[in-house]
Amino acid sequence: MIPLQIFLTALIYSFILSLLAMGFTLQYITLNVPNLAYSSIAFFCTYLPLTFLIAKFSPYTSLPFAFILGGAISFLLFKFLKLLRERGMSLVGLMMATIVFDLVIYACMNIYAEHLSRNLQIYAASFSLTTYDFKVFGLPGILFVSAGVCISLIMLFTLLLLKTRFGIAMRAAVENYALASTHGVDVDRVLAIAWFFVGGIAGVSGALYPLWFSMDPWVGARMFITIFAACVVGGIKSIYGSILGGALIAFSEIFLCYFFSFSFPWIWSYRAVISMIVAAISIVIMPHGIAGYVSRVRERRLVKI
Amino acid sequence: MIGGTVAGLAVGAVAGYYAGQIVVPKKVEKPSLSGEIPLGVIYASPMEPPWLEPAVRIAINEVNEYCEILGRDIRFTFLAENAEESATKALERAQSLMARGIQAILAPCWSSLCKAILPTANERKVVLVSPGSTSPALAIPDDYLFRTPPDDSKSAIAIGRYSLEMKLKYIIPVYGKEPFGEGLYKECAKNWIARGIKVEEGLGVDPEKKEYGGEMATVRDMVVKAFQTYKKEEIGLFLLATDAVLIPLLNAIKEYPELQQIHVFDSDNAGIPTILQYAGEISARIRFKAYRYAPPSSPKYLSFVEKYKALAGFEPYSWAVCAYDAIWLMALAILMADEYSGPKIKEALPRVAENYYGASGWCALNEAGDRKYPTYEIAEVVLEENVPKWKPIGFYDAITDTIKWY
Repeated sequence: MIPLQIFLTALIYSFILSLLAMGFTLQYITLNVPNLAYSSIAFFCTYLPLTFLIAKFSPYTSLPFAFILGGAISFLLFKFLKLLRERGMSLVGLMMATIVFDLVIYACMNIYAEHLSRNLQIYAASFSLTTYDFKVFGLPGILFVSAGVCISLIMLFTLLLLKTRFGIAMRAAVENYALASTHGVDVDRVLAIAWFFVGGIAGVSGALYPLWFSMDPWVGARMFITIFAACVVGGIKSIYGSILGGALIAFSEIFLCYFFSFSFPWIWSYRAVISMIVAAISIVIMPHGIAGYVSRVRERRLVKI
Repeated sequence: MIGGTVAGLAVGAVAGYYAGQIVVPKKVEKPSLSGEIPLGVIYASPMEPPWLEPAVRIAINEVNEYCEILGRDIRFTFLAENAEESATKALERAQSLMARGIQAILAPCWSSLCKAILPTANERKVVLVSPGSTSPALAIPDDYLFRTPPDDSKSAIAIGRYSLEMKLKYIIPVYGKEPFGEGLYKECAKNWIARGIKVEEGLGVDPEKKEYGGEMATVRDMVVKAFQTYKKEEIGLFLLATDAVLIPLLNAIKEYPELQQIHVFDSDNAGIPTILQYAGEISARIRFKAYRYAPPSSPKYLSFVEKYKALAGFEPYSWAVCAYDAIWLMALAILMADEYSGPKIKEALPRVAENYYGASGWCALNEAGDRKYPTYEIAEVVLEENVPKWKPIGFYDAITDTIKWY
């Protein structure tokens, strides 16, 4: 029988990973740019709940501020890339520029962690806030908060993209920049707001991260592959796909390792490999991701009808 | 006649010269070493400077005062780098220091980082003195690495004695899959088996994952199975990892009541403040115990503690005490060799250590250049006025293989 704790571990991991993947997917859907600084923006915001805790507030109260901070950093990056694009930089050059931005954010994290360690004796180079989480019926609060945030953001952005003029304008700008602008869409403003939202999601997901995982400034670099895998497995052109991809990666990693550990306890050392193998297999079977596969199945059924 | 006079004068001059040498004392040559002597310092991670640097500064200041008293025109300084938990960066930082002419380096506390630097140090003949590395794999005779703490094969003996005194009959080791954790696990397993304690196959965890709910589920299954054969107080869960891995392991235990009923203990993380800060509540609840290399309470140690607390604001961790002595050993070896040269420092250092009683006790080194006579303190996390704190509960002496309980 599967212990409840295994299920909870996989579920919380799945929600947090889905949130991280959601922002990356949204960015790709709206902007067609792989932002290599994305995970650094997310994990920079992990220091916000720690800061709030130092100021004697609950770490969860930092979530709205994490959205704003992540959005602001992402907006700055957008402006930086726009400047470079206006100067004729190629797509590869723009990707390299995001790496540079990533390094700057990484340095800022280390500087802040150093400041906390030296001046406040708070050891921030590696920290975990799980001990400061609340419990609901014996279950960790992060389960409910991450689930609520994940579902709310999915609903919000689905409505935004499909039902609002802004969302339609954003999709038009992505489809055809020049045509959208001739139809009166202020494309730059739309893209700037889109980048802000993407950064905001990254910030919120980063702020939730240390409430379950242990955090250090290098987590962003390590998690990037997992986030990207979740996006691709779920379907890089679908927001719902990020939830499916996050769930597949998280559940396969935890459940498969748990089952294999009965005979091979050493499997836990290689849990990251297990989930990547599952991701690779699923991409071979479903090259457009889980969401893409589901769409095709639906289309085939409609055609049959 | 003239020839005779010249010959006589020549013989007289030669005889007079040698007689003069006997009568007039030979002038003592002024020591050649002078000026600023830089020592290198490589921190293993960004977490270290707050607790390691005060010890380095105190030692440097004292050594300079000592040189002043001796009338030596020498001033020791230090150049610090940070390896940021990366072996590649540790090597880069070491190469950078060596390129600047550094001949003696306070090496990182982590064995994996010392291992990365050691081949280059041996090649370039630069002395490394680590205040925290303990992997038995680095206990190599005649290399350029010296270590002021004892290696893990000694701590494995202490852990074995502790397990026996706690009347443990079955142990489940969980270790971070990196050189420190794996090395210590192998040494401890040998010792437990030799003492008649049953040991489960160790569970290695990925040190980069930082969340171990799933792993603890497997451990929980092992514990539940063990309850069929052993009493709760006879079962031990031994965590062998650096604090960055230990903290999420402890936090994962919160979700498993079965794991909170058995004996949970750790390798050498006793006294680390981050455990209190980020896993204090669960550590106090399970009465988590750990040991650490600890110096005897000598006046020299107590004096260092006072100076350290005045500078840092908290008590020194044992590796900070070792770092203080490491700086003193390097400085004294340089003064003894009277030359800022790696090979000379390497030759002088063991002799200096043999006669040096520092804040960490007698610093005599064995043939591998590691501390010969270790002592360990065992501490437990308790709640005092609702605040988790480390409380010393025992002291292990390697010479007699006994624990004195407080």
